[in-house]
Amino acid sequence: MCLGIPARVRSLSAGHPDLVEVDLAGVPRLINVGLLDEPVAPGDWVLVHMGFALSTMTEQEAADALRVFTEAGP
Amino acid sequence: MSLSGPLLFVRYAYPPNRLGYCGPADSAAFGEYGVAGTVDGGLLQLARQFSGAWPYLELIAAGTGIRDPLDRRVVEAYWVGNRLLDTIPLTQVADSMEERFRPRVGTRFGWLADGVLQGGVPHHSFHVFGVYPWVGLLGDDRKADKALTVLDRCRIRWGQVTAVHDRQLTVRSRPLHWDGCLLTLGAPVVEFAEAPVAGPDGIAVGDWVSLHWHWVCDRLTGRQLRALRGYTLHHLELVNHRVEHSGPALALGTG
Repeated sequence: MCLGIPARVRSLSAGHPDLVEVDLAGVPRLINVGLLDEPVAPGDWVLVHMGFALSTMTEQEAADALRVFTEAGP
Repeated sequence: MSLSGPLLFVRYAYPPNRLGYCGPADSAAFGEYGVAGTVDGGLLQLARQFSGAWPYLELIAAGTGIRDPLDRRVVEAYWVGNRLLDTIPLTQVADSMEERFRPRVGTRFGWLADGVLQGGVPHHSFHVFGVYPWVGLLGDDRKADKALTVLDRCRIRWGQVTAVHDRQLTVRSRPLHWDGCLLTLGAPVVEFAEAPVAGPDGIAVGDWVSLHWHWVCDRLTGRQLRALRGYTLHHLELVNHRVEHSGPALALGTG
């Protein structure tokens, strides 16, 4: 993981508002979304680095980034 | 006795892998190599999946005429630092950065390439301070604390052991400090850290050790301690110079 990898939000955490479960390259992970300016919802795409969501992404941006990662490695 | 290169790699790469930040999805399998002390083709396959570290190992090996990217000298150069780093031709480092990062960072590439031209070398601290996006977040008061924590834990730190409790050690080290303008080493603090993946391995009070996230990686010799400190401070100086002159926003590509 060099500069972040796209992940899709699967579910929100009831106990901790900054934690959400995402699908990160096919693996479910808990990440922190406390650095984002807007709340996220299941189905949203985020760019994840070191356990934090750094920005939200459109589905097209995520697809483009995933294509680059597939070609060059994450 | 010194660890082999592959097992040294496991010690340094296991912490972020265990946390799910990089490398293969099955961190238990990767860590098991460190526990068992075995090296085989499976470990090589897992090591190749560290797509942040692996290209640097390939670059150092190619640039110094060493065939194996997991040669102990190469692995030590990337995580700790040694003289190999100063023998790699600048053009080779620049070409590697071009190949690895230009497609991913777009307009930010000039900022990264500038770091190489100013003297950045393929050491983990260059990757953390010069490539990752976290330095850019230090300029945002709301995000600076988290960014500082990530930068501090992601770099390879050094500290002196003050107590050993089975699989947990107490270590005195200097965390990163951000004063709103400069990134420096702050006053020493005492922290708890997990023993290396293979166990304490004879580490004793008074030893200097390296740390990655909240794990101890290895005992450091005097030479290794000087190298780790020297390359870390070198890259801190580079990033401070660039932040001072360009502003953190440029690091994010928003300037």
